[in-house]
Amino acid sequence: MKTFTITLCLTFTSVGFAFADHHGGDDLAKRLDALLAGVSQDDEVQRYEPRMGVRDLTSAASAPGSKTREAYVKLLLERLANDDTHQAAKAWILRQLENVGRSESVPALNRTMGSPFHHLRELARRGLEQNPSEEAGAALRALASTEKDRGTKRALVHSLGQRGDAKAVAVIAEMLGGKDQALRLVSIDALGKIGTGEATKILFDGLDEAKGADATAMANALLESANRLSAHHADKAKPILNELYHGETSAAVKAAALRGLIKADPADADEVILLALQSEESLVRQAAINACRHLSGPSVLPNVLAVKLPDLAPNERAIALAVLGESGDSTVAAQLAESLSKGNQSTEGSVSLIGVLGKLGGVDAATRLLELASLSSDEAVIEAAQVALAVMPGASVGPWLVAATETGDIDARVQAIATLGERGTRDAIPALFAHVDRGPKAIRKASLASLGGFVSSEELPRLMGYLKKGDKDALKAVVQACRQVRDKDKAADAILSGMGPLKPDMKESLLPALGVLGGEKSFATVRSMLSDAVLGKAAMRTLSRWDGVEAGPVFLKLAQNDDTSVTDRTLLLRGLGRLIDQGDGLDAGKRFEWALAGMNAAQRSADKRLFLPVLANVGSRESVETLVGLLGDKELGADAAQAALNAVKKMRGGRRSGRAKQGLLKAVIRSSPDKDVVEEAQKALDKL
Amino acid sequence: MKSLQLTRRDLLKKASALAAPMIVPASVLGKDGTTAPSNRITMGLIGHGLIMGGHRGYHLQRKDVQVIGVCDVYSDRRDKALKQVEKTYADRDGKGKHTGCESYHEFEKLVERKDLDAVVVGTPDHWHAPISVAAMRNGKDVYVEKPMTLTIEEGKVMRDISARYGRILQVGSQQRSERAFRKACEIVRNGWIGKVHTIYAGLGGFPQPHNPAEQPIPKGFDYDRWLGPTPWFPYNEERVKGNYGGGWRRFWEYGSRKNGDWGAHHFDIIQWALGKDDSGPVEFIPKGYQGNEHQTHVYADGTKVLRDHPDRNGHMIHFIGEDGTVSVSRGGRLDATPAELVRQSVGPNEIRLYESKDHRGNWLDGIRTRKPTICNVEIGHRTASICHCSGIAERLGRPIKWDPVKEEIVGDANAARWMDRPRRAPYTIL
Repeated sequence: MKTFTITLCLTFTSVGFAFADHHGGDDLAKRLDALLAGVSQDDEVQRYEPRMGVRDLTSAASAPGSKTREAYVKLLLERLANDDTHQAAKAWILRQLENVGRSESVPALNRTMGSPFHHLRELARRGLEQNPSEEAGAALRALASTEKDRGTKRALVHSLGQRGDAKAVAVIAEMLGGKDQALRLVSIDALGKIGTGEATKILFDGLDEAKGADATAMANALLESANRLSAHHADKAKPILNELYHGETSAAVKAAALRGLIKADPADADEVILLALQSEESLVRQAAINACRHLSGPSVLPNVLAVKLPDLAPNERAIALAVLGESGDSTVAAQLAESLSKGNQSTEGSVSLIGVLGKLGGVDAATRLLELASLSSDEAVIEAAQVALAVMPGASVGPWLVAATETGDIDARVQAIATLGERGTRDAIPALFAHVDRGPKAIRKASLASLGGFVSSEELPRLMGYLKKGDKDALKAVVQACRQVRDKDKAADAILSGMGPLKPDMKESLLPALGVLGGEKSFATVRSMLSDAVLGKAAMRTLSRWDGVEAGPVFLKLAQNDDTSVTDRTLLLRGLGRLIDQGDGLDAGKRFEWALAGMNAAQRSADKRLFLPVLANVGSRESVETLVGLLGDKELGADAAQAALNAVKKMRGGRRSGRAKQGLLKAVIRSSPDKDVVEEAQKALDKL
Repeated sequence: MKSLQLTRRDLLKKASALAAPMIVPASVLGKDGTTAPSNRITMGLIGHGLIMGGHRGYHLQRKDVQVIGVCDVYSDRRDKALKQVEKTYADRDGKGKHTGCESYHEFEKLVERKDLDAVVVGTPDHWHAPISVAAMRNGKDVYVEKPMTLTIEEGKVMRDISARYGRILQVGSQQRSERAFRKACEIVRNGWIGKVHTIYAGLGGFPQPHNPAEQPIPKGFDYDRWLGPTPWFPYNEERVKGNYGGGWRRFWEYGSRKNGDWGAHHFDIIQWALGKDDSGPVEFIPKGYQGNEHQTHVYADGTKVLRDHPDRNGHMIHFIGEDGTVSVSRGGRLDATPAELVRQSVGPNEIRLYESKDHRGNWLDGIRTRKPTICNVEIGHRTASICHCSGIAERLGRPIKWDPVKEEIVGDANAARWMDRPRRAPYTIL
């Protein structure tokens, strides 16, 4: 048997997709028989390969334009009819007929439905279900009406439903009156799938009498039919949907029927939804509220929802709030704003309403929100109102806010100014500068803060102009502006050209702003100030925090200079380590090179120690070897061991890196004076 | 003025939170910030294999969710799940015992419960559609694991049922809720790397399917129901076990092998990036066909997706455009050429994609507000259709053409038969 199996496997492998149309009938028969012999083996495990061989033959025969399909199917049918064919082979033949059989296969499948073996009958039924011929439908109908076995009968009815066989309606209808509930349920489902007028009428007429699971199945099947009808025959779908909606059906069915009714007749949507909002079923009320999302034209419903909001159940209120937020209806905003004004909301309720107002936008909403943001005593409400004001849509909101900065309560004016900044309203810039020039102190301060948050590099020179008088609020605005402007080079130009006449303390305060802007010009300016007796220290601090990689070589050069003070060297080396860790635009080789150079430039152990985690983060072979080389160092050994351990953890998997990790861990275990590190390394090694 | 001095960044962060459906009405919340028991989303968990562990843990720690039913065809898994639910709630409530959760052998009985709001379906793929459909017909919302279906026709039915019954459905292709994947898609969608022409996706492979020898069916395991609508085969543990390296996932009968496993994640992201959530490719070419080195699918504009091409820059998905590339993986890994694209912000007039930071939470938000989820039924169906078409082409050993508008296999009637699979009696109703 063993030899036989091996031979078969070789044969199966060679069959594969090699089978093509040019193979003669005899050749094909031989190949199929060899494979079926394999499928017939006693050992289930050995059947797999030959099964795949047969599948490949079927695939080739089923390809478009195949000239061998008929010959191949004929062979399958002959083997199926042969009493000597093993059941396992017959079963697999039936699976093939599912995919490749047509009318010629029907008689054989029909005969197999009389087999004493259940699994063969089941496979034949599948074959008939998938068979595209009218003959297969006729066979299924005949079988369904005569079949005695309950399970098989149900399966046959299901197959007729799957095929959408309109001719089967009468046959299936007969099953509805029987005692077998499972058969009744399958029949109802099948009629729903067939969905012809005749099938639908049978279901519709039966709905009144149906009870329990039958009634539910019938309602679901009718929904399917009505759904199909509503695409082209809304007038025929509506009576069904009305019956399902008003009849004794489940909440889920009622809610679905409601959706169907709205879809079938959008013109009546308002009326239908208004009535549904009064339903006793929560699912229906939820569906009604949600339907307001999809209204096609002007409607009173968003306003109705806004009015009813306080009375809705929590889950319905959540839907209504979401729906209103999406409606974009400014009249709703007025309604909700009024509701907020009544002051009978809880904090969470107010916050939710404010969120919706923020989405709706418009002057009504803005007026109420500005009031809340400036006058409320509830911090959660203030915060929500500020956020909503910042994001609310509406072309009229900007001009309205600008007007609001001019008159009224000082707190509200300040809030309006802050909001203009948050919204980045560029049209407000002249008004805000006017406030800076002429406004009262609080308004002036707020205007500078607001401008700093959104001006572009174009306005920076004007802001810089205020620094000449030592204006600290203006300084904050300039620094803030440097953080957010897009055109960093242009902003740097504005700062550099405006710095000249400033007092030293102002210049010093501006250095971090240059650091934020970055770029070559700023870098050169800060660097040139290193030797300045007054600004030198601030320049060094700024430089050591520089983010661009262009600073790396300068850091190194200065750190290597013996004239650099100990403190400055530490600052520079920290900056270098940070740049290496960030790694932007640096490959592993360059990062290692800088780390090594930094370590060599360090004169104190504490500074050298800075580079141990840096080397671990680099994670290259060279960096890890450097760490291993430091394990014996009296000053650095313990920290190097910890760093090496961390490097191992960061190393990627794989066989080669596994060996490297083992070597590294062993070295750590040998050399580290720290028991905890050794223990951790041993655990890691054991795990490997 | 009672200013909280929020920074612009703070405000924008909060604003983006507002944009997401996170508005929780006060009356939903109890005074201590927890949800009143009567207002929690009541949940049923179906199929307690590997993947359900995470779902169970997540929903048990949510204060706005109450798990009231667990269901499995393995009695021991069912019992363990029930014990975990009871213990967690007993601890939470400070009581010695919790009795509010029932266990079920048949999902039909669970989804019929009137007090149930939603179910998580974590079964093998061949049960996804039947359970989801039954749940939605009973008015329940559904979180179903990926791929959404076993067949293309099942996807069409699920889409119809979801729309008809107004149910919220989330498919567990959770990469959509990861920042790096969203960013990668925004980079592609906004044309920052130019017109994308080629995409590589790493799916890996399973061992070949096989016929494992028959073993006795373990006590307490309803094997016939586990097989459900799929053809009968003798029991073997290998056939039914949940195992990311194989188990039932390697069999065609219960899924689409790696196409359904990882393809349901990566093809989903590719659909998102290409803006094809309601459409799909037009051709599927199997590996090995006329020397084709990689399984491929092709979109109407010629964009090709190649499976398991090695030049993925060490990533799961690698997009190649005319002006650059973007590569993305789980764990927040995102690379691009030019590199600065990764840090570049989406401009006000550019495409900003649906943002979710918590895939399961996004579903719960959808349940409350009825807003579509980030991976809704249409998206799940379209992605699953790619998985299935790829599998069909592989099994037939020839390319298939697909019409993504009509959702039909074109010009190959026999291949089109694979768009659905006959269901084994008595598990026939979908």
